Amino acid sequence: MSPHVPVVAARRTAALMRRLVLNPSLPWTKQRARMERATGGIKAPKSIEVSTDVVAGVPVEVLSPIGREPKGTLVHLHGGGFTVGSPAAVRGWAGALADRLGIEVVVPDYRLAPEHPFPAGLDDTEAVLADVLARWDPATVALSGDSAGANLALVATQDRSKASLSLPAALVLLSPWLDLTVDRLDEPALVKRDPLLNPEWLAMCAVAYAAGHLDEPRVSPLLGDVGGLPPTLVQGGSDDILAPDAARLSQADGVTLSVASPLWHDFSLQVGQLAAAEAALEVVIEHLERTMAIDDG
Amino acid sequence: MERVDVAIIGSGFGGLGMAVELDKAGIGPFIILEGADGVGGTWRDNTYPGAACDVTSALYSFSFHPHVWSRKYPQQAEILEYIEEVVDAYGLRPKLRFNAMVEEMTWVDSTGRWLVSLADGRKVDARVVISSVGQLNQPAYPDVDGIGTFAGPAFHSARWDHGVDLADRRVGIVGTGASVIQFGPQVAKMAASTTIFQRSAPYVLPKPDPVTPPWRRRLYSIAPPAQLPARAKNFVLNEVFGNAIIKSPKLRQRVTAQWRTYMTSIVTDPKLREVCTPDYDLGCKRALIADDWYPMVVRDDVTVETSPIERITPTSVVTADGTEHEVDVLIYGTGFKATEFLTPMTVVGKEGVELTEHWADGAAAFRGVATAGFPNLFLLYGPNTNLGANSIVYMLESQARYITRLLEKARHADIAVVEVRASAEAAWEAMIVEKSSTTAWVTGCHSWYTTGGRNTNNWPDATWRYRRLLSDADLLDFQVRPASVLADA
Repeated sequence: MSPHVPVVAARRTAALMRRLVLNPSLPWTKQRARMERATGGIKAPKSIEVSTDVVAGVPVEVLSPIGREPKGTLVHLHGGGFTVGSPAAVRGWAGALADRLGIEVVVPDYRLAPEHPFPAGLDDTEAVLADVLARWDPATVALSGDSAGANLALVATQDRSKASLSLPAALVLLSPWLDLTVDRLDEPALVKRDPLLNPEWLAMCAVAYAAGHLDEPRVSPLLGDVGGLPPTLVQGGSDDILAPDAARLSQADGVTLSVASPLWHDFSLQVGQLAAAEAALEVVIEHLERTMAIDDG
Repeated sequence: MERVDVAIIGSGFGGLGMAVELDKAGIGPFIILEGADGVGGTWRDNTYPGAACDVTSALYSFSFHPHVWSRKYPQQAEILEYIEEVVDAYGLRPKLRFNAMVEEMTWVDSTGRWLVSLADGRKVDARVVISSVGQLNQPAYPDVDGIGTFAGPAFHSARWDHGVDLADRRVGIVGTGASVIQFGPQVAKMAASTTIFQRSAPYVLPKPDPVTPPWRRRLYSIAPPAQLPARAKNFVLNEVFGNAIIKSPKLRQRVTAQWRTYMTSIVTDPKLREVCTPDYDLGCKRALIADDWYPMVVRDDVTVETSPIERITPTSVVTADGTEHEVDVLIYGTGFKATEFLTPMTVVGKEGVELTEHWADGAAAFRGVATAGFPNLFLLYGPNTNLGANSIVYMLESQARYITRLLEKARHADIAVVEVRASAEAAWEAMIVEKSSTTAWVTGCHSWYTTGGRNTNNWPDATWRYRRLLSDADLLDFQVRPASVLADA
């Protein structure tokens, strides 16, 4: 196992991200460029091949185990407030899952706001998901997302559930952002504890993505009826201004909550850097092994 | 009904140490439920003559509360005094609820709290329950015919009847465990005759027990940290010796040879030597220390009977060889129901599952402190946390800090309910089984360390390694429920 960074140091790095990247006073283009620089170095394990493809007209990054027939498929939606970010940011986490479970991970490079507001990103998500579920046995397919990506994953699942379409076998939501109407400044203690997310940045992202539909359940799924979900794992850190969303979702049937303390938004992705992320990955693996039909033999 | 955040059950070393840690972290309000009318746990129960600890006092005490001990191995009265001193020093008196014998506790999933019922009908509503009832608290009696028919005074050593005068009486003692090793020689001094019914002989090694010299006592009272080197030395010695004993057959042979030299230097009669020779490997059961055991065995008025007890009559003990041993007083030194953790409390967890059903194949718990299906329940001195050679107080402190850290993290994340993940518990169990496979405890003897041949009681590795494994609590090992969910419900 690679050496881990002490939590204190990682927390400082998160604070640096808030100042230099996820900063509302920077133009979107600058935020995206800096995000690319910050996450460009993240590598998947050596046993994983990273390639690009186009699925249902949407560019995707595919992580697959080298020399092994994938036993299943995970579709993961990256985070970044619907406005920034790319598949590169989740390469470590997704690669580790592909390696450990022997599955293929498909990460859509969905269209970002404000250039492409709601429902563009969601449409891309649903197109990729529909294609994967049509091609493979749904029992071997799972869906996941982090932050804003978790919002897309949840809404896409609910849309399919309402339309009585096939569902993935499992859902994994990391630090999900599920209610875009909440003014995060209402919880000053939490704002103070969160090293990564700036409430004003979130508010700007919300406006950019929702384009006037903030309180619609397909934008803020917690405002609608949350039900009919496959076995769902919600994972997050305690020091995240979005933590209340995870707690609220955990009231729904079939949803398991997993919280790490005192960690921040999307800490789960820091596989190889944080010992806690390694432990969190085990929880995800356990959930997927239990719910996906990917047993050997 | 008293409503608290945390209810601790038991006020021995475990419960009190836990209370001090919770208090320090500001977790609460908490109370300590004690079934008896005083603190001290095993050190309150066991008042038999000669009761003492077989771990050195510098080590058998709280790291946060050093004490000037009168001798190397503390006696029961002095330990009990120390415990009372700790209660006052940390202001725990108002937290104690005496005569609060817990009969049953039931998990209420809708509220995420435990409903604790006491024997006198009182109830306590607690979010978290920490059981610190110990492993050696419920006396065990042998399963022989006529055990209730004995007409004279009969009692268990942990329930010593000080009203019975043993002078000039014929006393029968059943068992040769750690307690009998201590009170046997004392009884033999008083009684007219003493017959000890032995199932298997113990290994008894010398116990050098000097009193603390006055200059040291003065030094320790002026500068308590001056005791730390002695504490460290004892810890390391116990650790190295204890681990070598359980892990190394070669060292076991050497210590066995030393024991033989020691035993044969006192016991000269070949027949008696045979009686004193155990039929199992050193270390499989607890190795005992006492200077007066073998000198007692060779006394003319002491008999060690190795033929198993067949039945007990109103006036005698009849052994399998047909001999009737007439006795006036019968003392059971037959130990405790150590493998029946938390008995006789009824613990009902999620979906109505009882802890005894859950543990039907032998007790197990994640890090010795938590088990799946029983949210917000923690155990001190739980499965696989007993030691063959070192201070249990060290283990208790490790556990108390771990539980406190976990509760702190949960509070920080606004989590009200934590339940260990079954997968985390299974991984822990697999590790225990693997580590135990090379120890002396599973070399084939009947001891309170095992259930069905599986080590359920002892920690099978270095104690510092246990502490390291418990040095941080990870909420990810637990299923959690946020407080807000319960508040809405």
